[in-house]
Parts: sequence; C-alpha cells; structure tokens
Amino acid sequence: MTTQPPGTIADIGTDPDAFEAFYRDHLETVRRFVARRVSDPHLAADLTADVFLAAIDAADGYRADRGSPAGWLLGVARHVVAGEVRRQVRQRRATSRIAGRRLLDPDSVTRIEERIDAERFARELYAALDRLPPRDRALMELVALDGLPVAEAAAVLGVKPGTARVRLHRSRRLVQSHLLPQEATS
Amino acid sequence: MTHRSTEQLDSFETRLLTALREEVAGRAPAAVRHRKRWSFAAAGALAVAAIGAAFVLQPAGAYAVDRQGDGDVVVTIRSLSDADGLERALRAEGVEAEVDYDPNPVPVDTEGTGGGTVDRAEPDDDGPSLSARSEDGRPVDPPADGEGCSLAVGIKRSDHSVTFRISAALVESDAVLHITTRGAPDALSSIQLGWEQGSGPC
Repeated sequence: MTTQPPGTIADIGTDPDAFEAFYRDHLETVRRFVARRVSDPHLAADLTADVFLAAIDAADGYRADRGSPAGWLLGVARHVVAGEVRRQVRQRRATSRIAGRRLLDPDSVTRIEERIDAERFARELYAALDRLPPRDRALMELVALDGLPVAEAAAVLGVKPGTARVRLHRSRRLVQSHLLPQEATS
Repeated sequence: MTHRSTEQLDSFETRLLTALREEVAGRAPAAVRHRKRWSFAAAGALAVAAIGAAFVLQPAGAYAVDRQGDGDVVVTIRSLSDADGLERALRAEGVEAEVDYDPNPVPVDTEGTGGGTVDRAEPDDDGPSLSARSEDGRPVDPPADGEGCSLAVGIKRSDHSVTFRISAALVESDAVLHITTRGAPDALSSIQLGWEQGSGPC
C-alpha cells in the first residue's frame, strides 16, 4: 500500500524527509478522502493541511500491528473531519497552524473542484450515513466510502472483523433505504 | 498503491508540503503541544483570567513552582518551553494541570472550550481581572476572596517573566487547571488560565 517501511511512520513527526515520503505516498488518499466529504474547495484545502498536521502530531502513536499506515491515516483524517463539523457548529476556524486555503491559487482551486465534482455521489452517500449510529457510521465510512478492506477498517476502529461484518450488513440496508426512498416504497 | 515518490504536486500541494516540512523541522524535541483540546466537561461556569500583551521572556529556568506558607502555589514562567515539566512540577504540589504552549502568536481565543465560555480580560496596570461566564454565556459572579472560592488570580508580569498564584482552595480541589499561552518560547503573546468550576471548590 505504501512505499514506506511501516517503521518510519514514527519519524514523520520529526524528520522532514520521512514526512515528505509519507506525504507523497498518501496525498492521493487524503485528496479523495476530503473530496468525498466536503464541497467547498477552500475548506478542502484547510482539511488537507489539517489531516497531515494531525498525522504529524499523532505519528509516535502509530502501531504497525494495528493496521497499515493508510488505514491509520484514514482514522486520523476521520477525527479531523469530525472535529471540523463540530467547529463549524461553533463557527470556529482560523486557528490551525497552517491555513491550507491561504496556499491556494486559482489553478489549484480548479483542480480541487474537479475532484469534488467527481466525488459527488460519494458525498451523497456520506450525507446518508448521518442516519447511522456513530460506531456503525465510522465503519461504513471507511469501508463503503474509502474502500478499506473490512478487516483493516475493523482494526482501525478496534472491533473484531466478525462484528464489523454484522454491523456493515445492517448499515447497508439502512443507508440503501435512505438513498433510494422512492424505490423502497414503490 | 503505486510508488508516489514522483507524484506530481500542483502549486498548492507543493506549498503545503513546504509548510509541513517546516512544521516538522520546527518541532522541538520536547514535543511542542499544539491544539490540545480542552475538555470542560462540567456544565458549570468556567472561570478564566487572561493577559494579552507581548513581551520578552527570559530564557534561563523555564518555570518555577513554589508552595507558600498559606498553601497557595505560586507559578513563575520565564520561558514557554517544557510544558510537560511544568505539569509535573505542579502535580508534585497537588495541582492537576494541562499546560499548552502554542507558538502561534494569535491571542488565546475561545476555541474548544466545550461546555464553558472563556472570557478574556484585557490587561491593565493592575493586572487582569477574573471573569466567568456560565455555559449559556451569562456573566456570573467571579469567585470572591475569603469565601473559600478564591482560585487562581493575579497574573502579574515582570520584565522577563509572568507569575500567578493558585489558591490553596484550588490546590485542594479536583479541578484541572488549564494554562494556555500563545507566542514563541521567548516572546509571550498571551496567557490564559482556566478551570472547571463544576469540579472545583466553588
């Protein structure tokens, strides 16, 4: 999944070269993760910066036996996005160490907008996940939205794979009935 | 996933990489503790005293924690470094504290305070006043001296340090003291003290 030996993840918080390798390895994952969740390119830029900042802060807590670096990063990213939702409720922003939106230029905005447009169906699914209880939602996000294998998503969330499968089965039915309300009732 | 060392970065992503590399390079070995989220679980009022004026700190001896004869604990901060050390020193005197030295020079604001609302006092010649607000934003009476409710007040600054006194009542309570500063290690921009009154002695 990555070009980086897992042992070096702990170094990304202190070694700029290790961080750059990590950034290049996982930028695409973060780009798509963000585009599946927000529709504003400036907010997407902020969140991209915030996800990597959070990874830098959390790097020494990475444990290779609990999942891949990509899975770990998605777990970090989930917390960042969930935190952003809470912040928006309180209209809190502009306190990040690196404000991603200040690094944007028109070309970059266009590229992010294209990515956001390409992920519009995924965002519809993301919105539909609101109906799920938080623990089921986290699982569905990682598996259905971000394409993580069930076993790895279970590891990220600290549940057994069997438990994850049961929850996913239940969640899929709930979300489908929400996404396709017309068909469900016809 | 393919090898991405040659990943084409656009201008935003290149600038972001540069900024993040600088962030990593600038992280002190003592793990600068940014953006630590305050968790004011109690619904009661949150009392805060703050001062917001830039001045230069003295690098020698990052902090001092001194127990007074009356049970109060006096804290002197001379450098915004070694937050963990200050937490340990406070714990040794019976004060549970979360110390957050944020190098961002922007003054401490109300972010992340959960149930409580922070009210920041403007500095003046007499030092900052203590103010408190309830969860719904109503001003409430600040803890008064002599009523068993005197907590930590009187942030005072000298040329190269900042000092405040934690009352014996707060020391003996279960309240967690939050010390948050902004500014580089040798250039304090603002300092804010907060604690949950719900779990404190008031």
